[in-house]
Amino acid sequence: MKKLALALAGLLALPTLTAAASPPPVPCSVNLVSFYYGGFSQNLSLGSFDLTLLAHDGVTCTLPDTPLITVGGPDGSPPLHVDGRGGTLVLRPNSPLHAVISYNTPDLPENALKVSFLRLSMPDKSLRGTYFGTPGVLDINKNGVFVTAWRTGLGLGQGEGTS
Amino acid sequence: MAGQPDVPQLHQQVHSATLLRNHGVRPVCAHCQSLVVTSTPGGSAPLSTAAPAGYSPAELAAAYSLPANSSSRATIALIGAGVDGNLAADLAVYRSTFGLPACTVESGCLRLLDYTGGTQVPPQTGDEGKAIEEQVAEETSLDVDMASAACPSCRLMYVAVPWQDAIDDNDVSTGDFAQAVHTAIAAGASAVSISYGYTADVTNTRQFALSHKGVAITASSGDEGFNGGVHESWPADLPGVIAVGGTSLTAPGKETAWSLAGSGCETAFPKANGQPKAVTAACNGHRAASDVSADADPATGVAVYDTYAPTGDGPGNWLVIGGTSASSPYVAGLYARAGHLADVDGPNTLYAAPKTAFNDVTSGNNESFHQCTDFPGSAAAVCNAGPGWDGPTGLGSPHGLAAF
Repeated sequence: MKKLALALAGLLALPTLTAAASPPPVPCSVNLVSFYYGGFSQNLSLGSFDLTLLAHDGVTCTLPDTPLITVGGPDGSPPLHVDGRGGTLVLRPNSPLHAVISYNTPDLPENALKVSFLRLSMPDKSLRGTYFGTPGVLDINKNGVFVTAWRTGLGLGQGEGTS
Repeated sequence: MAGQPDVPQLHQQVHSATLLRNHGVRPVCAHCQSLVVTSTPGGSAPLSTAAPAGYSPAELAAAYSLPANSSSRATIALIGAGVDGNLAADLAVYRSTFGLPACTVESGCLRLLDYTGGTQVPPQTGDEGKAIEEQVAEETSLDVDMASAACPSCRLMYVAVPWQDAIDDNDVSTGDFAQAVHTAIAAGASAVSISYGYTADVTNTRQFALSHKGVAITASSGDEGFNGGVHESWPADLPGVIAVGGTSLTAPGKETAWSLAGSGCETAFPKANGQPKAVTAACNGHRAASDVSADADPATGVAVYDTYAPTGDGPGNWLVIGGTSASSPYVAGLYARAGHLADVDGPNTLYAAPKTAFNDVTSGNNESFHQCTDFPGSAAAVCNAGPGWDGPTGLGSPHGLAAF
């Protein structure tokens, strides 16, 4: 009986606790964030595009500062060079993260490698795959793909930072 | 190269702000607020000379009416990315060349710490790490040289954050800098200078709000002119940090606002510590930067000695460098030299100082990339130098030590 009373007291207290304190960040899952491409450009020697991550409304989740990206296509997976030293970032709806993905265009046919998809894997092992920058198969130089560390975006929400 | 550069002629060009007519500049690293003068316009190789061509400590002291005597033994901490394998040796050359007292690791005058408080990690040996540390060594040398110039008698402390922080712009990097500041203060620093700038965001403007009463924390305001009026770069945007802008210095009393000196409004904060409403009004009731300034124009750049070249490039030797990375450690050094730190909490004591403590810089602007008129929240003073406070130069440049 005493245990039941304690459990009831705990349940009754729960809404008060959750209302008073913001929930601790959880590891980001693909279902907690949206991701967008932008700024695609390609010239004779270099191609690049931006990848932006945005947490859904009300979500605060954690990511390593190293983008969790794999790239592949008909020729397999090219070498991937990813910056970032391995710390933890907090992703919020009003604080997006960006990474720039770049590659060299092939100088000779024998140095070309076909890629078609980019896969984002999250700390909780969830995955989302989509095309590599643009739909279809793209020839890149076989020296691989370069990805910057996640870069903090401008985006202080209204009232943020002033309290 | 056609021949050895004519150092006296280059020095004259620094005094007349004509150095960039025949030379270029390039950023030292992605997030360093420094620009090194290059041997050719558009080139990347630095203008390297066998003797100093930029401003010397004595010339800066004359320009800023500093007293002849420097007796403070306070510690100036410089926070930077990566390790400079020649830092102590290069500092020794700089100080001996200009007649400053030696400051060595062995004597305890120079301390080299990791941001966690331990001993520094060894220099990088991987290709990318070596290349970044070679670039950043120009910044690190600039920092310790300018701190030495401002306060020849002070102790120096270089606190290294990971080398990746020179290229990554996120909360891991800003968190490393915040930890380094705490480490420096715990190790006895009286003044701390950060010559780096990062994107302000929700996390670093709230959780890393640096403020330590009794310690002067300075940061470069940036090298890209007026920043658009919504966010100033981190950490110069913080209320407890002294944002240091830049001037072009051609002679004592002849300063104009440097055209690329950073300025702006940080809408995340209502004001910097001690900033009066007359100043925050220029930012529609928000933190307005800069607070104070000193020479930062690479055309009127300072002499820096750097030989760290682990990639096999030729050593830089004597360089001419500008940017608000020059003015931030210089101002930090003046705080340490003056020693009136008990009431310092961000820029508050600057705003309480008499007007005579500054050289009011009243001409020039920094609207190369953005213009104040395009941002309704930023008054003209945020971009244009004029009597009293303005964005590029703050309250002005130092006139003696009374403001510090």
